Amino acid sequence: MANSNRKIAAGGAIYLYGISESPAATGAKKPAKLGSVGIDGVHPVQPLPCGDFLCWVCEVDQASFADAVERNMENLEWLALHGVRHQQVVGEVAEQMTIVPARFGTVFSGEPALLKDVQGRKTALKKVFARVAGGDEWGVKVFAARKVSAVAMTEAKSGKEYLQQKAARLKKRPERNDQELQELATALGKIATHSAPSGKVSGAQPNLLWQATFLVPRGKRRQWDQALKNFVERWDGQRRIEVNGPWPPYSFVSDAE
Amino acid sequence: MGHGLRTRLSQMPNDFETLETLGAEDEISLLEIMDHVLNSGVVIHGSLVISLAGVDLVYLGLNVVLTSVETALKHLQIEEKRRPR
Repeated sequence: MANSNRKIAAGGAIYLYGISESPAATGAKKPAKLGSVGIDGVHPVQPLPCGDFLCWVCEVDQASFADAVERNMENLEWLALHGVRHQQVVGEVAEQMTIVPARFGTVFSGEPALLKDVQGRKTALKKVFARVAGGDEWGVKVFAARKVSAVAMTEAKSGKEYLQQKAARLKKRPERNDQELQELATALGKIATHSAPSGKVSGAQPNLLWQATFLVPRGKRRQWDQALKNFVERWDGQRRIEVNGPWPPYSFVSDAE
Repeated sequence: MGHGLRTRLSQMPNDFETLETLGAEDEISLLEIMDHVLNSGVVIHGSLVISLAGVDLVYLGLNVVLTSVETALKHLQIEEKRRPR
């Protein structure tokens, strides 16, 4: 091969997972090779040096991947498979070094376009790194503890009746924004450095009363867990708390746009 | 764990066989992957940026998504078995 150092084929389209700071610039260890499969299931994931940054990328085929992304965004099976692959890589990088995740589905026509764009937003990216370094994203959900009555569902004689019953049940739900939920939000907000609304995809989960996403400094994990436990004990039997994480800081990077 | 406090996985375990034994409740944690991955992250205005309009479809049905995540995992399992590390 004329140019064996070149890992991305000339003219190859590039999928971007996210951006880290260059180990050369921060004095950090060089990242270990990732075990995760590439976004297309074929090409390897690579760290692409870009000035002060390191872009986590995977070559993709222009016709079968890049040109089809937009259409595939409406294909739930495609979305689920590739969403999981995206998270595998971003999660694996986050275990080694800070990563600012790119929006799922970001594809560049080639290496020059990617490098130019990333270097053009250097100042904004540096601000975001300063914010998310040393922190993890956590999702918190509060559910009403009581179960939806399965009996009521089977009693409905028609689709219309079922929907009426469902609407009546929803009305009887505890207040979604009551004092106690606000107390939880305040308690968690004091420990977290940032918070964001969360979870549109799972927003339809039954009995979900409240949910939010937080950026929590790793050094405050104990306080964070304790604050959650306090509410779990206080709401015992009435409300159930679900916590998911740690995640890469997906929800706290949008101002680098 | 005994208090109803559950900590979810942030990423898929490397051993995909364990996924086959996950119950219905654990499948929701896969849905949470979608919660965090979709509609977040930096939109980089490169030469080709994809619109996320189609993601709205996801909101239409929780069950549809769960089924498709399940299918996706089966695909992944097969894929992983074919790719010895």
